[in-house]
Amino acid sequence: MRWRRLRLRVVALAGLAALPVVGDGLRRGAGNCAMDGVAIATPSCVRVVDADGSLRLFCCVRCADRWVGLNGAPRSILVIDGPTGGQIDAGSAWFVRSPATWGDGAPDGIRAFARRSDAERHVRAYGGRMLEGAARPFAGVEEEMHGALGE
Amino acid sequence: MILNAFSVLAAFAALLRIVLGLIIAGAGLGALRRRSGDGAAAEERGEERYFLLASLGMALVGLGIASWPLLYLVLQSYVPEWPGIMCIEGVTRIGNGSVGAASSLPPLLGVLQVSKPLVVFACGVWIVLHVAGRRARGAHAGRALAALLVCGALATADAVAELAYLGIPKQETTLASGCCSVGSQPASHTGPLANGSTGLLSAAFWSVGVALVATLASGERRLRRMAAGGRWLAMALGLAIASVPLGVAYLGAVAAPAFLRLPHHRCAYCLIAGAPESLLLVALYASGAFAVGWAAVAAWLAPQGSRRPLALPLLRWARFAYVGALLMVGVRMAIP
Repeated sequence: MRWRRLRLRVVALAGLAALPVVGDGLRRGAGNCAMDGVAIATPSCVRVVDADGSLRLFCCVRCADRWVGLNGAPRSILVIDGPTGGQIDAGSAWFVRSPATWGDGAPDGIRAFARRSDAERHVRAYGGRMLEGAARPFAGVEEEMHGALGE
Repeated sequence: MILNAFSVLAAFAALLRIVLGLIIAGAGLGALRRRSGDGAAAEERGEERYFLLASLGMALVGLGIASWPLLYLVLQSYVPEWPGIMCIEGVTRIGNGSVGAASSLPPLLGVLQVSKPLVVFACGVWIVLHVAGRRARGAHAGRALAALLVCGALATADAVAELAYLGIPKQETTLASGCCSVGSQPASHTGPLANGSTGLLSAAFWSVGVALVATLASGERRLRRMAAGGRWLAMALGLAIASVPLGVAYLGAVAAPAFLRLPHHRCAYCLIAGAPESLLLVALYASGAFAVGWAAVAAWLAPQGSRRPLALPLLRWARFAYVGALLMVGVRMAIP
């Protein structure tokens, strides 16, 4: 009786120990934001290749900006161009803080544009403002990234 | 009031708890008065009344326990109501900065998050004293009655607070940005703990956890000699009490980022949707702490003959629950 109870306890503990492994295995590969874990909508997706070469996906520019600020300069940052849906380098993009919510919007309200004229047209049509200078996303690491590329 | 299946169910359960709590309070006070009256007949009437109350008490216990997870299901169901809110953390901030009735929503929710486990603990205390009293053929029934009254009062207060929370309109609040979204995270989510304090917290959590398991493992023999077990049980109770705030802090700051695989996201609420298996870990840890408390109640307040038979299985469960919870955390932290 005593052995049977002990065996039961050991089996139960082994089951408990296995749960985190199983849960983690099931969740791997799910395309959620690497900063806050929310599901990623394609129009606002940001792709960051970190210093180790791993690809990390983010739900919005602000999550990616915050993550880069905490983890240091990555190899590359790609954002989605609003009008075309194509990927562009964050260093050459124009950012607008926008109140517009069309097309799945962006969780943080920041939209990226490949051309300055598109960004200005968006501000005229929907309001908001261009993010420039220190307010520009990734402003802190762009210089570091470009410096590293130059070397 | 936001109407959905969970909020309606929670409101109904709260109403039932208020009704049951009031009946128990009224009839319980009457039974206490009768018990203090003269003669064996008065005491017998009191006992009869107590066993009727016990049936109502059992229903209250069931509702009180069910209302704890139900609160979090209600909060989770509120998440889609506000654009930009991503988890319960955001719902807990609805009402911040409001000037109307909505301003009382965050403190009410804070009260509820403390009162729910308190109600469960109080109900457990009553059950321990009730079972002990029955085993001792009615001895110390007054203590069980008093515990039931406290349990009823707590459950009623909790239900009133919950009804108030559910009923207060939540439209007048406006959020500047998301809840758990990084830009609006409070400093506690990424700030003070980021610079090595997590190491200190982890050390404290594991030290208390291991010490508690070791104490519980060594305690069985001592509990057989009940007179020598008092100091040991007080130590176990002290460690169990310390393990609660440590466990809550560790869950949010260290375990949640690991379970969610989001190193910068310190939000225990996100575990509900992001890593549901961790809820079992929380349940085990909480039940371990409760079981030590209930064992102490059994050992110190139950009638002499029923102390050990009640305290031993509770302490065995506490040991198993703590070992299971620590094992789950340890395995998760070990996964690269």
